[in-house]
Amino acid sequence: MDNVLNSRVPEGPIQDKWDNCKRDLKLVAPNNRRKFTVLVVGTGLAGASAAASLAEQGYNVKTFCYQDSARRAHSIAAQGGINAAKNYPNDGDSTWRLFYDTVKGGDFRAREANVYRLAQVSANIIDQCVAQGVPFAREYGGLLANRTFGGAQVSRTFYCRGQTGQQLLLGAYQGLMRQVSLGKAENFARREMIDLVTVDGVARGIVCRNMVTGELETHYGHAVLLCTGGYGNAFYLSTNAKGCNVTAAWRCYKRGAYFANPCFTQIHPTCIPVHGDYQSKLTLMSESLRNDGRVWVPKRSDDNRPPSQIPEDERDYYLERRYPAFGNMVPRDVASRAAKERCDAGFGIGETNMAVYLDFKRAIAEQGEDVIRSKYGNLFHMYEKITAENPYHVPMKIYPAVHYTMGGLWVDYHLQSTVPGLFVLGEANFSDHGANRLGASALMQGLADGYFVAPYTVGNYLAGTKFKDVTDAHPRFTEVVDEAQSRINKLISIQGSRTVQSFHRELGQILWNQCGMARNEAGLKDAIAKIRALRSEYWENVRVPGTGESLNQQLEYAGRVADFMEFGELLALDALERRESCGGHFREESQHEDGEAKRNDADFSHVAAWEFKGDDEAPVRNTEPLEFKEVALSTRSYK
Amino acid sequence: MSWLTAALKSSVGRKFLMGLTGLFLCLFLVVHLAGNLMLYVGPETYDEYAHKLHSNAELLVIAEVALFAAFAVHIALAISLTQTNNAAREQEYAVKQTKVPGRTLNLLGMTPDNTMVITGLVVFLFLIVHLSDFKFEWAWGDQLDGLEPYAKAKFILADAGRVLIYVVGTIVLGVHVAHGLASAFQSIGFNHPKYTPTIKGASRIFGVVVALGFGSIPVVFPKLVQPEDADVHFQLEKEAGEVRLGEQIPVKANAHDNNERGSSAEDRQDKEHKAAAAEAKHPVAEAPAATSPKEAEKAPAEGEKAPAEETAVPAGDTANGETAEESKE
Amino acid sequence: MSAKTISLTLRVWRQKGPEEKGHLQTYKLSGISTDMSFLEMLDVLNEQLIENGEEPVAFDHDCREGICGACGMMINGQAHGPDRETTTCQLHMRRFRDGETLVLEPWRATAFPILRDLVVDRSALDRVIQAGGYVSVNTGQAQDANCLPVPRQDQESAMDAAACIGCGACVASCKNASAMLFTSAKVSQLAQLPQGQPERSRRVLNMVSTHDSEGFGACTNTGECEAACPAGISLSHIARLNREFVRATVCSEEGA
Repeated sequence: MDNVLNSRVPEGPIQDKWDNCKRDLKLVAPNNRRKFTVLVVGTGLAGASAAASLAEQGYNVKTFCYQDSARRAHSIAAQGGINAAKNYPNDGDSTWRLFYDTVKGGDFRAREANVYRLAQVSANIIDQCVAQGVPFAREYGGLLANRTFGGAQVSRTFYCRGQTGQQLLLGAYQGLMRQVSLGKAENFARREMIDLVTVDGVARGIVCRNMVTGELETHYGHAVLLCTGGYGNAFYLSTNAKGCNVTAAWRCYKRGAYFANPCFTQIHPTCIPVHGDYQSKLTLMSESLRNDGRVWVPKRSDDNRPPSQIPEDERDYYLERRYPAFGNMVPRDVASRAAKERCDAGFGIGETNMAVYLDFKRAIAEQGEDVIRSKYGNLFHMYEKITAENPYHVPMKIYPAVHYTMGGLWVDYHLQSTVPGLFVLGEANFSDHGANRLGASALMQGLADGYFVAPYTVGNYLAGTKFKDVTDAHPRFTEVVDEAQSRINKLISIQGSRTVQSFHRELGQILWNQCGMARNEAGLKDAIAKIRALRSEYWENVRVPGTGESLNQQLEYAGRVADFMEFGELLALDALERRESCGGHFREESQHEDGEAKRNDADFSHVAAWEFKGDDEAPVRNTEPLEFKEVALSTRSYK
Repeated sequence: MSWLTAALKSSVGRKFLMGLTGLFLCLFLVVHLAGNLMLYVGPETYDEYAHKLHSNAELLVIAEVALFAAFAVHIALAISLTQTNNAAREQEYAVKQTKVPGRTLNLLGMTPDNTMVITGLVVFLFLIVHLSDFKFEWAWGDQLDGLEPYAKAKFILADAGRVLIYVVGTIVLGVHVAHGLASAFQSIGFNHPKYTPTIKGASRIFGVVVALGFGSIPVVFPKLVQPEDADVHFQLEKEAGEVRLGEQIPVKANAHDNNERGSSAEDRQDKEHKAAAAEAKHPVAEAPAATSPKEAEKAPAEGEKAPAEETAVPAGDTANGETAEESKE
Repeated sequence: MSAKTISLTLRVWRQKGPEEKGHLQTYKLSGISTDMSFLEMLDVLNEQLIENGEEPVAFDHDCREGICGACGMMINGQAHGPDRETTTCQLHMRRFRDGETLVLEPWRATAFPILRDLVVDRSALDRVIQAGGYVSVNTGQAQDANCLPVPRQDQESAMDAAACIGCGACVASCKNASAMLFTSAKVSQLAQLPQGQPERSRRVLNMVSTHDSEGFGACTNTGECEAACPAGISLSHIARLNREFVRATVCSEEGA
């Protein structure tokens, strides 16, 4: 077991590990690279950047995305910014400090060596993106501007208004489009990967459904890069795009890739609250709003006055009260739990009493409305669109929502999963954020993996592997296609009485209520039982209209929800087994007297990597111990 | 030169050329309008202007060729772009509404900018009539022979059908340039936060000026004086050295009966007949003439003097006639 | 956020496939909360259709927060509906009156073949980008980010152009189905940045050429695209594209 979870972290001092790794990597000669084909699934930051970089090196690249264009991956929705240890503001930042903040912010559940590498290459990302023409905010002198973000005491976040993710993604997408025009890359849009094909345990291809014609297509190559994002939509309501799903990762899990720490989900503190049963998704308001916004609830729980009529001394700025050092800038998990604590205690506001205020009154008074508008104009505009309230005059109402998933397929230092040839990048892997991700770090990780890590390590894999001559004529492809086809046929043939959405919504409610911001043993056990029951009902009573041979969005959705049904159970199981509180995972049994999370380093300073054993067998929980040599294990304190 | 054909075939290249020729034609409109407005000053000024314009035949030919080329290119591009644009959407929407704010001034959804092809086509048809009237004189047989530009204008605009055509034609032209001028700047790439709002405003004003400037002529100008009086006035002005508009107003009031002139159009077979008609009407014009006795006195002399002038330039007659039209397009 | 409910009549374009004939189908909906987003209203319609054993209306959507550019349809003849700078997913039902009839049609353009119902194929826009909407820089070639100062004015203007979400509303709303606003946004962004200079001429010539060969119409400067654009891209970028095009044609050696 131990050799399976070999993290392949190189020897040497932490700052030399990546250099040592690169020194030892095997290389593919330039004229041989065109003999290799790399399949990249997902075209978000990680996928597009990896695909472009590998194609630039000379490999044949095929990319796949379920959207109609590679440019629409959900990385595009990231608003606030991207961290990099450039220290342009001269405020004491360094590679080490970014590393330290990320390990500590992740509540000591990330692999140190990976995080250090992330911090090291962060500066190169900014260089790369600027060279691509990404219009980062600048000072009047023409040089790059920075802003502060939650969980950090330095300004290291680069941003493009409130559209940083969009601009970074378009930069990577354009790089990919350039390779397409050069004939080195080929993009297959409206394709959903529905299975991984392994030959002798090695990843050699994928099966995807052409979402326009319904045809099952096979693609073969020498390595598969899974860049398919997170599984937040298991909760039904999340800030993810509607199409985000766990299917690709889940299929890989069922083909032998271990799933690590699925219970580490991030609940983002600043989202627009839920306001109706019909609601289809939650909208995130960038964390950067907390730079200037102050979070509060009334001091009296029965205070129903409009916010403008509640005087200062009757307001409870609970983050400033509880965490004077970081105030409103505490990390996301802390801010979310604090909001939940106030609402559970009866101090919530709004129609549902499940919201808190985010108030810009002071910032507007101090800096002027124009300055606030220039910083957050598009966010305020969006808020007003959705809620019909003007946040320049009325405080925003916010509540936490599922936003990001730190868990994902287990990967080693080379980003390779437990299936040789299957690499996992970006949010889809588990590696860098531990139990909680700091703001503006997701973009950083996706691009670090795609631009600066995978292009090296994939080359090493290709150079160092003896490949059998496998095409999609290989019987394994036929087998996997048949399995996928029968699953589709089954879904269509059920013709039950409930819609896919109703099942998804119910699954989401189970997970949110019992495996959300606070979890306990009884609740988790109950959740697992409920999910199992729901899943069996699903396979008997779901109604999928139409056929498999055409564009059928309900069928696509049904396949995704079927996998969420299986995955949700693993999520709850992992949460059940991790009997400690850390980061986004809060077990009510494990807390300090003041309600702060209580980590259990003695028993749980490890990665839990789940191994699939069969549909009717319990998965096996393997562990990769985490050692903290550089950052001493300590209790996180933002007080 | 493949680079040039490629550029000229592209949508942007075609639009650029469209804008460029459009701007040139707008420039021409300005010159033309300035010339035409001299009709309001009086026959002397107007005819003098027309003659001066035509005195340099070589330059005029060059100008005409350039103008014709600009028209030809403008129209050819319009056809080609319309084909491209129609092909770009094979099935129309069942419902289509604008999102441009303030676009409430429209006629059944038609606004200057979305009807450029239609207005362009109307202007083109109008142009055929206009050229056939003033340049080629196709529709008029020899009725216009020997007439001075001013007289000719009056003669043609005495026709009610023509008045209608000219009024409609010039208003539609105004609508066309109201969008066209600003659009031309955009197409050649001139858009600047400091100037574009002004250009847009100026373009609309230009459209109004074109419509009012040209469009008023067929309505107002024939009423200023009797068509038959044109030559009388010409004489009078020459003698008196000045004509005050105020003096003409009573004439207009007296001669406002368009039907009369309309019915008399058939009779305008020849110059003599016309002169006779003019004489017959003199009693009507006598009341205003009373304020300026000299006018009435000189009137009979007109019939003699005008032909004399015509014969003074017999060789250049047709050439003059043609170029005079030119200035009126 | 006090919600009321409204009833609507929807006339929705139904078309089974690219080669099939389509038609407008009428549906009645009631009890629509005014706090719903437009797409949530369509979700409700689809749930009802499925329960009635009919096929739901296919429409593209993904992020539902106005940035991915996947959604988009003509709502009563207006791209993304009546609100300015708003995508269909960010349009809310409070914008509509009780009893209103809404006609929903897909983007119509020869370059955007209809795949099903309200779903169209916008891959032509990707090909326009492939023709030059990038800076040719390989990973690893970049110098330090601050080696290249960019005047803030230029950066802001480039960002205005870069905000394009590629939804295709400009094409849909244009009477000529022109993608000039889309094309110009990328040309303009990169033309204003020092990074874009080396490929400046080549980019505009190739992108315009691809734009034309994909079957988009020419710009007639009516401004419908600008009014429909959810990202607020201005017509001034088209003027810049025109300038860049002439400059590239006349002054550069590109294409000689």
